[in-house]
Amino acid sequence: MSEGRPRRAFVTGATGFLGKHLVEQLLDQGWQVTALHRRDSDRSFYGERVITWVEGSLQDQASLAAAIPMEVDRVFHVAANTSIWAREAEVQRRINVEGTRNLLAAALTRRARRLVHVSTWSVYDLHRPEIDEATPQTGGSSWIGYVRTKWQAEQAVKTAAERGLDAVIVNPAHILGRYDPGTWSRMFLMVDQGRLPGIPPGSGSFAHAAAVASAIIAAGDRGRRGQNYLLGGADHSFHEVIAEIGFRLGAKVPSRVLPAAALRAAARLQALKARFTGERPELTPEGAEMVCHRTRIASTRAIDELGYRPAPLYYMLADCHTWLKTAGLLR
Amino acid sequence: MRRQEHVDRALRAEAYKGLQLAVVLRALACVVITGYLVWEIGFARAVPILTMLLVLMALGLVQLALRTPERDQAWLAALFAAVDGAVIVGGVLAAGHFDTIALPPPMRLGFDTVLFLAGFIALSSLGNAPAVVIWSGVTMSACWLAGWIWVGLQPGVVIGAMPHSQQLVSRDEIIAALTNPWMVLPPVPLRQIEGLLLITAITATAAYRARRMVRRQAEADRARLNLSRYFSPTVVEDLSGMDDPFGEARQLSVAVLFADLVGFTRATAGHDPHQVITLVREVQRGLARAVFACGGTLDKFLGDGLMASFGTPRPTGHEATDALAAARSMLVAMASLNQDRERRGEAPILLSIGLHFGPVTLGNIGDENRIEYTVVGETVNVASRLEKLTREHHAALIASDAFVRRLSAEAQVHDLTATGLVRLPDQTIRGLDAPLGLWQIAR
Repeated sequence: MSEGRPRRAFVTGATGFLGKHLVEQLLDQGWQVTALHRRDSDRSFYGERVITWVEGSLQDQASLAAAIPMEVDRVFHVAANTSIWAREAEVQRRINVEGTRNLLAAALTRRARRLVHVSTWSVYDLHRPEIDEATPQTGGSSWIGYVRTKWQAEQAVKTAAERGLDAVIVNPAHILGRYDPGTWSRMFLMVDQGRLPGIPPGSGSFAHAAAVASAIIAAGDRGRRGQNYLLGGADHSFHEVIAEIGFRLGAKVPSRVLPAAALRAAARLQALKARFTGERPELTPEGAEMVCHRTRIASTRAIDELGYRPAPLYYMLADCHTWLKTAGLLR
Repeated sequence: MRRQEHVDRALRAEAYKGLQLAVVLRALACVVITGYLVWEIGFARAVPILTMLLVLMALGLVQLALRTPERDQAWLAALFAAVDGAVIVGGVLAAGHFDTIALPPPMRLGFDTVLFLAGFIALSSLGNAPAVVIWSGVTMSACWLAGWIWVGLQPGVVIGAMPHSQQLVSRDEIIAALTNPWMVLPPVPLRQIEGLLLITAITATAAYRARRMVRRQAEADRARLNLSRYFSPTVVEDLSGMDDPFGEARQLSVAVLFADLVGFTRATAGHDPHQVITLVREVQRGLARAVFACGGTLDKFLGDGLMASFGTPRPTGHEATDALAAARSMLVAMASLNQDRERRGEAPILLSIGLHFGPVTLGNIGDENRIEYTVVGETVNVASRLEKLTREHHAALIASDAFVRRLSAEAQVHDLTATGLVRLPDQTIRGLDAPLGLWQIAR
């Protein structure tokens, strides 16, 4: 594998939660990283670390073609709009679907050796008690914009793969860990401030950001062309997640599990309110839907083929908690 | 429902084993009879009967091939019993037809062939299904009767006096009738059929008793290894697919967890015993749930605590990671229980945990009255002592260095500080020669 020269990677989403983990590990392993950034991205995280930054946008194919080094070893497509608020649907579609199509076209033009696409577990049929790679992907008909656009993006990758692009897809579960600016880390803040009204009824599979990043690199090295790799992890009810957060913070947490109907209704109300105020609601109907499911994820393929190592829940939350404190986001 | 399934499965398995045995015995019987016949009447004359015996052996094998231990196929057993009867009776009659020495038809059903039928009825009892035995007895008797009726209809055959005929006959008349090879005396086949049915009834009773015994045994097994009480659901699923998961004692490297409540007696002194038991149950249920959620095996409840093992009945490659995850969620569960207790103004209940990793022997121990599927060995004793040691250090959890080394080797946890584990000075543990490296999670 070592051909004397460092391997080169092109990364989208380098300033995001998962992207930071990925780029950090790539740099530690001696990769030469070229990263796409938007004009307004905050790149201070990387300090003095050596990264070739290229300003551009997923929505501008010309900027992508200029940014991707010729015959780059890997393109890691991590960037996505993860919003679960219907108000942002159009932007989301442009970034997730058209952005991915633009990137795929650019990768083909620049003869990228391999592309790893970061998708999501939620493109699979969420109504199953357990999903694996053989489960049908029903995300295309979802009313949740994030799920639908990520499904369309994955389809685009599969089409490009048929046209000769060497591509591998990873489908991570809920991601926990440090550098989380406000996905699950929001739970810490809500518990800390006593703002959590109750516990969502569902359960989820939680993956450690660092382990997911390692699996993404491994998918580039050892993943089979055109395959999906589900990256699940610790299966826990949200009750357990919140109890663990409360335990870490020494804070009282509600013990009441909200009925799904109540949660959905509350989310509808908040969305209605947001329509008038224009402020982003704390709980959206899409968000409520995602925490009412009870889907376990079988990560056997990733464990066997990529050496994926899921971490226990407390460990991921400890990682997140320590970072929140270091970053001054939590006392 | 599940218990019934388990018992049914055991019954089917026994029935299948019985069938296998019956096929073997049938083949043996056929071989013995072949040898005897060849010796008695020579190969050439024995060919027709030998053909019939071969067909019978083949029928046994076909039945074995068609039946599976997974499904209850009594109808197949019944069908084959009827075919067997027809083949024996038809075969004996046909053999007489092809014999180089033509004997009068009534003699063809002589030579105590009826005993052979009785043997087949007895064989059918090995399936432990009384209904199949009765069916087999009735069909064999019917075939036998049909055989006699056919014989009676042959030209030259004379039907003798009916039974219970009150007319007086002389001794010479009886001898003449019995020794007349062309005469069929109805009392003879009727008495034979009566005998067959008696044997059927006795054999069916034996089959019924055997079935009941298998059922009881299966229920007892089920109660003894009430799987779901000790294993996590995934393991139960895994185990129920195996033939004999608890067979032999094995050596395994596992993580052992001891959890115990500290100051429980003091916290509940003077309380209503009913409330105390309810609380112990509530706590133990929570602890057991943590064990199962992390794929562990609940070895036993101990007073107000419990012992669990990870990596039993088979290794997972992440035994220490799972054990620590279970320990952590136990601590979380206790913390939230204590929050509620605090709200009610009650004293908190503290949990202490000991964790060790090492070789154990896994197997069934105990006497015939009480059998436990458990792990034994030095590792278990050390884990228990580590749990006791928490009192000395005012720690919530103490783990051995062997455990933490294993945890690191499993590579699911990279940063030990995130686990909350802190190194303690080495300490001598009773029963161990060298001092043991220790780690703790503080209260």
